[in-house]
Amino acid sequence: MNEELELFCEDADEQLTYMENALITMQEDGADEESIGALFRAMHTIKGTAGMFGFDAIVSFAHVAESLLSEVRDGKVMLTPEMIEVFLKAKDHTQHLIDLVIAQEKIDEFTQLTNDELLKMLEAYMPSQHSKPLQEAQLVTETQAENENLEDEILWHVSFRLKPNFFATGMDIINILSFFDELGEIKKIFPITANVPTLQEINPTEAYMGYEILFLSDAEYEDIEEIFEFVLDDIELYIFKADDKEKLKELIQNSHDKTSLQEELIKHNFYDASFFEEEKESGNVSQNSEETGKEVSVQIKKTSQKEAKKSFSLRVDSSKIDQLINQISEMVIANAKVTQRADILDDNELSESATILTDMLEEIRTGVMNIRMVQVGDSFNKFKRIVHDVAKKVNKEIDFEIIGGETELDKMVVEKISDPLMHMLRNSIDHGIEMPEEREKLGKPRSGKVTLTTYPDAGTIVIKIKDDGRGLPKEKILQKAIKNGLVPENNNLSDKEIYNLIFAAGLSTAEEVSDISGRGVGMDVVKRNIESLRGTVEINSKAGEGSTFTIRLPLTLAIIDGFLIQSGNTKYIIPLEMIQECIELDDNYKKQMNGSEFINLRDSMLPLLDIRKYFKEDTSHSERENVVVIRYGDYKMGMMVDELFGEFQTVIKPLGQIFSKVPGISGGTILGSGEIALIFDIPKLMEHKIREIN
Amino acid sequence: MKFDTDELNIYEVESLHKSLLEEFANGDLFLDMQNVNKIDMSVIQLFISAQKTAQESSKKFELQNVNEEVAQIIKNSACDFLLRESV
Repeated sequence: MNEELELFCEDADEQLTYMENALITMQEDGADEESIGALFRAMHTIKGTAGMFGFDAIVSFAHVAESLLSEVRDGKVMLTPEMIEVFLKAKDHTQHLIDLVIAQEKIDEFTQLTNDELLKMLEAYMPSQHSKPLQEAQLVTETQAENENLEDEILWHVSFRLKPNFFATGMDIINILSFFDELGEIKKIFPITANVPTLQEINPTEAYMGYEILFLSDAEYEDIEEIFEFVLDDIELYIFKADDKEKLKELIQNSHDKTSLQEELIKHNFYDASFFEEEKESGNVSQNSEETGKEVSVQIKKTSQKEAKKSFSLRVDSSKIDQLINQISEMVIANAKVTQRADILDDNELSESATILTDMLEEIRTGVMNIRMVQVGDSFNKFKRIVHDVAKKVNKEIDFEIIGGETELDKMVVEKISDPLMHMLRNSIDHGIEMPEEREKLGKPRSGKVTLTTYPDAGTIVIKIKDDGRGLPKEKILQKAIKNGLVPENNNLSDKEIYNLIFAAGLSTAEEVSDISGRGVGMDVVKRNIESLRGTVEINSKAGEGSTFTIRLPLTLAIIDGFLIQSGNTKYIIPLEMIQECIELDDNYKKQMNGSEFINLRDSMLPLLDIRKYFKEDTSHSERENVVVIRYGDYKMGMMVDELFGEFQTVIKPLGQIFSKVPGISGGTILGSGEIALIFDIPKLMEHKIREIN
Repeated sequence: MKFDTDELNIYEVESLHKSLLEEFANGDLFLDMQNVNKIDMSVIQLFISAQKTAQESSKKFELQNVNEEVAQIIKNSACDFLLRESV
């Protein structure tokens, strides 16, 4: 797929997701003028951009949906819940049409049938029973807009030349030109054909043309630029107010046309020849109107230079950011070497410079990492639709709430966690929440409550899915696990261990396998996906009260703030944010321990994990022993180590296939000295300790 | 020269270029557009090039039997001069 098509897909996806969320919100909270307007604009944008690519099927379908939305916006048609359902289907259908054109597949019979059916449904809501033909509808909108905003109109000069590779974009400039009609009126237009070679010289796949346009519109600079959104890199574009002599001069000076642009502009009545002579005069542009022959004077409205101040967003390929992160990672490692060298040489100045460099690198690192961070709410909002659809399918009433949508998480993590979350939400609704009648009998509200909560906690991001349903069927899970041979009959499993059995492959307790969940292929995949993100998942459940699934994910995947320690002959890294404190394991504590692996830390028992023992290291070089107290979720544990070195910017490197299964180690990092330090997998170590205690 | 394709676009423009060159070698160039319902900018640009070539070599280039759809596309591209008869 070429870049422009990718942009189109991204853009359409955004608009459709936005539409879906708006529709779901409307269904729950009722519609307001603003959201209907936004809904209309979303459909309008899809129609427009699809038109630029010549995707006619999408354009004609979107046009009908847009027409109806326009009627709703104007208050001529009331938006009913049934109509929202139809719009939701229309959204799905538009998505499907987009998928088809992207895959370059023809519209199949079934799609055509759906298309016709949906068109009929949409048209049935229209006051006149019919949507206006495409061109007529556009004309009406234009005339209205013209009447409303006559005094705000500006005469713009738009000039562009196609770059040689323009045709490779797959975009047709004629479609793009037609988009001008949506924003205003093209007063004058002529193509620049001077650069088109003769048949003997032309390379027919290269573009040589350009256009000069005088465009009257109340649109802002950005709106006009947006017409060219998908081809900005493939054209040379100038947009300026027609009375801006400086910009005009610049355009003429920069012109590479084979004929004089100034003469062409005069010839096509864009400007009077006098306009170029009177250097200082500005304000009114005088032109000869080709059609009427009269001199028309257009008052140019003085608008503030908004465009200069507006910030803009930029779409960047995520691989470029990954590359940047990789390079910064290498710089961090190189800088660690410099720092160490400075220490060895005892060179204060070098040391100071290295420290400054370290700080700066940390700032750059944080900055780059932040680029990848997105608010989870943007992505999680799509679950509203899924919840709505699943609830409808199983005839349940669900009150779904997203809390903490503003929490930021790495975009890649957000994308990868999406499927597991979707699966868990479906499970909660399908199996967790009872039927409305059953809930009433139990004294619960008819609507089941499902919440998706996200918040940061000690260097991790926590995502919780909570429902107030019937809770997990402990006995059933256990029986099934015994039957499947996953656990022996005489087991002594704790509640949590039993709940965790649902993550085993092939264990589904759903009595009836539905097409929503209960195929027994989901939860093991869910767990695997979460673990591949170095995350953990935990279940809490109470019969009759509901279940909570808690997912914990690391904030970043590339560089972390670590704490360097040594145990035996090996250096290790502990993620800094999980560390609560460090204490020296003095004789007092040792006496308390009395052979056990617990200490009394300010009146609470702290389990200890002897790292040297765990990794079977036999020598200790240190005279002192230390305990690093770490917290992960609700658990605390002390790690007995030898030496503490302090903070260290840790670039996470995978250890390779052979070492990927080493329990308790999640990766490695390179120290300034070139040595390798191993990064602890704290959740796994914690799990080991808990199992040992139990 | 008559086309039997419904649409002329960037995918055909190279072979179309070759055909136009060959036809020009034989004299004037009249393109029968009767069967063509859609063209894109790359084809319009090639027609402009053909028109230029004709003017330089005092030959004739003309689009004939242009149907409404294609005429509209040419008008939308502001290249109406292609629809006028060549000298």
